[in-house]
Amino acid sequence: MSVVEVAIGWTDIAAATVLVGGSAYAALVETPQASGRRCLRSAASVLAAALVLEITVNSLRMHRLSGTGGATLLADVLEMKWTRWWALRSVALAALAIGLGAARPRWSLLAGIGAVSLLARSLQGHAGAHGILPALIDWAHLSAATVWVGGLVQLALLPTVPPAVALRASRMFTLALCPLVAGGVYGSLLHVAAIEQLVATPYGRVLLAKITLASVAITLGAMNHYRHVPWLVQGKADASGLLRAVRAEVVVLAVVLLLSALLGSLPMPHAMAP
Amino acid sequence: MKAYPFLIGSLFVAVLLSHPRPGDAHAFLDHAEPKVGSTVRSPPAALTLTFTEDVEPAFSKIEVADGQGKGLAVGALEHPEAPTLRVSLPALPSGKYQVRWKVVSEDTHETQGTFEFSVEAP
Repeated sequence: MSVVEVAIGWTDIAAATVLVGGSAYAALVETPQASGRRCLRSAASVLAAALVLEITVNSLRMHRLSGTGGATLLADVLEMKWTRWWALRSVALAALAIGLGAARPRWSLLAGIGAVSLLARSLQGHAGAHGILPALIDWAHLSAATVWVGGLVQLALLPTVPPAVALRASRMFTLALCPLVAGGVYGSLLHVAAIEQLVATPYGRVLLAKITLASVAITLGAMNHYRHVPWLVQGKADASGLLRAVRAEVVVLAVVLLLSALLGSLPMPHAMAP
Repeated sequence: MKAYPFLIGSLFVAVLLSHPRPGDAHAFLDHAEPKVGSTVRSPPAALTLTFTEDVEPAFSKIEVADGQGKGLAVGALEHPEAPTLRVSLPALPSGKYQVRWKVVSEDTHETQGTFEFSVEAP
């Protein structure tokens, strides 16, 4: 694990959630305004850069491990399962970028392509190494987090939030919470075998920090769902309180994504087999 | 939306009932043949290591050294199954041997370890 790998991992997950979640927001809530579409195009560019950096860093690591180089290293890296999922993610990103360039993007199609790219990401990582079921549950967790983060970013970019938009977005976030929490619980049980590993290992401590901050974000979301959005819909308040809470939620979730990237690099608590 | 609390409850119950088996997600040695720390009567023709995760053979290696720490010329690394690596061994005289392994799991994480076995020819 290195700082560079964690930074690249964070860039990857942050850009992917903004891009795919923003497309889901466009399909389910409201077509993004100019600033929202600029944000999606920027996220696509950042994700492209992160993918290039990831394959470069991985190739350098494999070179260091094997001592091979040139065509042999290239052939060996291309043979890796990780690289095949990387290639699928790259193709999906290209399709998303082309779709975003259209005058009237087909948002549902883009969200579907984004979902495929998230599945490839789940199969590429820790969960994929465990098997298909853990990868599928990780995908549900990641997709829900993506809908949440990407949707919040689109809301945060709005100068004001119309009540109907706030209501639709709030319903979407509430529905996303179910797979998010269930998938998170499953992943925690899968990766951390005993309670003491939560405090005795670096992986466990980072997981605890992530759970704590995610709880803060969920609390902010509950405040919006039960207070700001109903007040806005009933005309009791303007959108400023909601927007402040949404922007605070985005900041907290950015740190949660950083911790997720860190978890992807840390060794898991384990007992060495004989 | 009224069914939502029921849906959350059902998913939680499903998660708890599924009781995910804790795992490593990094490849660690699950078992070996000859077994870790074992003493075998006849010299083994090959050394087989099975890991807890699938491994990438191109970036993995197995080395064997005798009791004096001198490396032995083992055969080319074979990959008979996704989590298994195997090397053929030269004729081993009686003595203690140390195995060093270094593998990359399919999520690209690297792990390494050592273990010993002994040959005690009758």
